Amino acid sequence: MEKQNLETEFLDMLRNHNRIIYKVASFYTDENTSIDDLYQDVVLNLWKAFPNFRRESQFSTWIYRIALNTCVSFFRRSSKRPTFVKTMPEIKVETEENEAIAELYACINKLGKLERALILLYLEDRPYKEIADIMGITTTNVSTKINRIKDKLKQLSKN
Amino acid sequence: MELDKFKELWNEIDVLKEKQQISDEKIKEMLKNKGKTTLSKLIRMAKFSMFAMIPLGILLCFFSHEFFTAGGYYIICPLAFLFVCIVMTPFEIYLYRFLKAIDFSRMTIREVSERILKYQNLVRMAQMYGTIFFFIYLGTWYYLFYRLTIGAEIVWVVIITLGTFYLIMGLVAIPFLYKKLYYKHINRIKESLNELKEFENNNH
Repeated sequence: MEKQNLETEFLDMLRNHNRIIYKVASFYTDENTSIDDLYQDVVLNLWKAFPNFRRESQFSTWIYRIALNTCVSFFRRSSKRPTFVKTMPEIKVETEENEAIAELYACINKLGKLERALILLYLEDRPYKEIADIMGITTTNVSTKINRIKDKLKQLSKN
Repeated sequence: MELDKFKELWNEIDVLKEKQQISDEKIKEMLKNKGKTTLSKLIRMAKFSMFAMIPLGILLCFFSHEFFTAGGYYIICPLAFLFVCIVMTPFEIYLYRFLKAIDFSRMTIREVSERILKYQNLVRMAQMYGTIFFFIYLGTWYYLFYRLTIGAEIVWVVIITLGTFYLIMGLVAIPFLYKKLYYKHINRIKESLNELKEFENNNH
């Protein structure tokens, strides 16, 4: 019964914050790592940590931390791994900004794993203090790094 | 493209992702795979290695039982290898505890990144030294086996076969394994470590 309640609470939390998990996973997908596998790894790690979540921070901060840690530490010995559960088919997007979104991801793929984490939190409008707390760097360093990555993205976009 | 322009696009992607709600049944199916996260698999492998070292050493001894029968300095060969396996056990215990200490919900991205990179580095080095050790083991085993059986005609076929196999291992398999297991991955690890170092600079 208790496990069922926990599961229901977890599913509710997941439904409300699914967007975060998908966005984080999409930042770390490449030809060897499918978004499905990353998504599932994140969900499993969230489920593992859920019983010990003491609400010392907001749900969103907790989810960002676990999702980013999962993606940053994700590595495969072989690219041939089965996906546990197929989540959903790729949604073909027919928008004018399709090319621009593709460019966004192409540039992001050229960044290092930590840089991606930083830039994702910036794009998600998280306060610098929260970014510093999640990343494990000072607030000054957050600001410096973001400015450097801005220049780097500009260069990558030109090339 | 400016990062602010990226931010506008990012909010549009938001709208698209809202449509991608995964069903509760699929999530429940995922939750059944609780022990199959990347980190859990690494911990399980480390636990297995922790317990497998000493039995491996005993097995290496078992395959060298002729040396025990022969007595004298021949005994040093299997015992030396058992000793190496015993010495490796604390290293495997260290790796297991190192991984177990990783907590995604409490550690920062920098801390987790550092730990995982350190782990990958250690494993790659262990694989490299392990391969060299195994090569030396085969060579020593082969040489002493030849010394013990010298004079027995029928054994020449075995000796030549083993010798050929050993040469193939040394000249082809070891460099190939080195490149596949170690060299390619260690460069990637080094790049990530450099990124981490860069992040730690100016962190005051």
